[in-house]
Amino acid sequence: MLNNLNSFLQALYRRNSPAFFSFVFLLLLYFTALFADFISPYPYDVQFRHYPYCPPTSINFIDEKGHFHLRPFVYGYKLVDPVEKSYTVDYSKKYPIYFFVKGEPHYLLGFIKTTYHLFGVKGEGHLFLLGTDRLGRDIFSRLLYGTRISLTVGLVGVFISFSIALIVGSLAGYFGGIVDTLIMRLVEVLMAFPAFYLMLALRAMFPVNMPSVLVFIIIVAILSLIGWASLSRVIRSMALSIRENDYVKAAKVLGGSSLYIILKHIIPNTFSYVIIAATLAVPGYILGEAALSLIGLGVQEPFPSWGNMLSEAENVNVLTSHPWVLAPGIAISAVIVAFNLLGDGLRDYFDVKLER
Amino acid sequence: MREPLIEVREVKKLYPLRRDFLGRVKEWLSALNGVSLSVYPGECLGVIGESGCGKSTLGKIILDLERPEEGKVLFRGKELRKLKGRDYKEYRKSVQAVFQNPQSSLNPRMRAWELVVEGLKINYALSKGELLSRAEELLKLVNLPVEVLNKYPHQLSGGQKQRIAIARALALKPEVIVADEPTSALDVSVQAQIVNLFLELQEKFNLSYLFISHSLPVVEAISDRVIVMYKGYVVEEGKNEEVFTEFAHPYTKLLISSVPGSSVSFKETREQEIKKAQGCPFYGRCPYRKRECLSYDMKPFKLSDTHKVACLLVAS
Repeated sequence: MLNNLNSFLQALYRRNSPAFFSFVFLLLLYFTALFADFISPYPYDVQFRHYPYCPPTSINFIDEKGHFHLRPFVYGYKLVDPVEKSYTVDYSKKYPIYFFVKGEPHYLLGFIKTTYHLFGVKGEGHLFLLGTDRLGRDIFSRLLYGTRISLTVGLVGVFISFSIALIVGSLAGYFGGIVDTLIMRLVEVLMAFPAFYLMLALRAMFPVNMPSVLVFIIIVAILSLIGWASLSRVIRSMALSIRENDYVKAAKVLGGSSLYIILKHIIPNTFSYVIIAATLAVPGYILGEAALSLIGLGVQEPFPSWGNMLSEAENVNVLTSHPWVLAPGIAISAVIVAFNLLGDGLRDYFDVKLER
Repeated sequence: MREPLIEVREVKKLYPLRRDFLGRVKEWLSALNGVSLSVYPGECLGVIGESGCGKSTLGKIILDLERPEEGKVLFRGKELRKLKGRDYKEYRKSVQAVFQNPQSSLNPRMRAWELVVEGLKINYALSKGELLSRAEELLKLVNLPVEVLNKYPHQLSGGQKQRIAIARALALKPEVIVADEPTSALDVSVQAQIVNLFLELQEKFNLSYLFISHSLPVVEAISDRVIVMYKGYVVEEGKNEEVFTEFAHPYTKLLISSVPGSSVSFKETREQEIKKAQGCPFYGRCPYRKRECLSYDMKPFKLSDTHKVACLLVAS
């Protein structure tokens, strides 16, 4: 298994290095999502009321007198105009950055209680790598926490909708006839609805204020319910052609049941397509969640998702004077590009493999 | 007379050709027009005919992959359609298949050993170790080295793939193997090897074959009895020598004369469209055609106990 992964990565790197780096990037992001509360300097809901819209703190090695410091440090920031939210740098205060700094207690991986964070500053200082939002919450920390929602919604959503599509599509394609007709008409009805409004309508069936976890599950369910239709059509047409292969007839002659043939012969032969399609479908789910959260129907404050963090950037005035609130938008774009590049790379990989 | 293992009685098979917008069939293609035959234990029955004559449909019907519109198939004297539960399973195990193109008859995602023991896996609960050792035995039977066990089909040659397909059919210890053009996708040199393998296995396990092919030399080399099909009819049936040397039907003559280097010469008349869907299907191409042929019901005439020909020429 590990050996396979290794050779797969090598092949990916040789054939399509952007895909390889996307894969590594996404792996790092998932790792980040897992350890978000440890890596982030602050919890997602701590409000530094004296620092609304604080710009990203610059990290320095050389101080105002030109001396070099091996340990980077940050200066103190001071709010000078509470209306305009403008800050001055207080050069008299220096805060070095340390690894493994004591901060707010959290549960690492959900069960190890600890107060340590990966990095931070001690004492009065603040470390806002990507600035703060209007309530003075650290955007970098919130971005890390938001990774959890945005990256899992894609994977879980794709998993659910692809499972439905595989079952439904292969049943329709393998049996054909009346089963096929019924299933495909249902799919067409589902596809006839504009996806975004269907999403809104489905979301409207549930109350707005619900626990975050429940909202998350509902969002995933809604997105999956919309997403399986188009894929199941493709799976169906693949099943239609796969079932004509003599190995399906041979399996019948050997006494294999329909279920056996679907599970053993039809579905595995759709995999090379399905893996690529799944990778390319993940961005759709991330965007779907972001769209719902952006208009306030998704994950609720104070819990961050990239979508609801972006809602702060809706106001042009805020955006022009505090451009760092756009950080989650950049994160979304980066992840989507990464998934698309990875999907392209996988397509190359499987194409070559099938040619052999 | 021995009991036939498989008996096909007056089987007719229709395929829809055209449908109207409501999905009702407007035109049918009749692939089989009342075909009867028997396969006896330990014999090889060759089926020859040009492409589209219904040979493969016949194979599919015997394998229960298609249902005939009329007529029946008997397995050990019992009607196939009425076999239930254990009896049907017994039939499934006893009647196996080898298909034309090993490229499409082997799942590209399965390794050689998985392919070979697929039937055992479906029918019996065996451990992986048992399956592997059975796979090894089966590969030995078809003269494949043990090294191929873990290979995927795309790593094997055409002949090796066809041997895998044969081993898979043998796994369930069948009595009959329906071989649908098993050599057509192979090189000539490999064809001979596969034919020899079929003969070897027949001797070893007392197998019966229904050997479908359009290649006359292959059929002549392997068959005990031969039937010649044309447009869904059996036009001639007899022992190997009877069909290949004492042939009586003009179509058989045409087939044999078309083999390169054949001493038989046969001049086909220019094909004439026949409007009426009655009478002899070969009428349009037959140089000996007569007016009566158009009302001939294709009932065969017996030349000997084993030799039957469906042609008015032999009647007179």
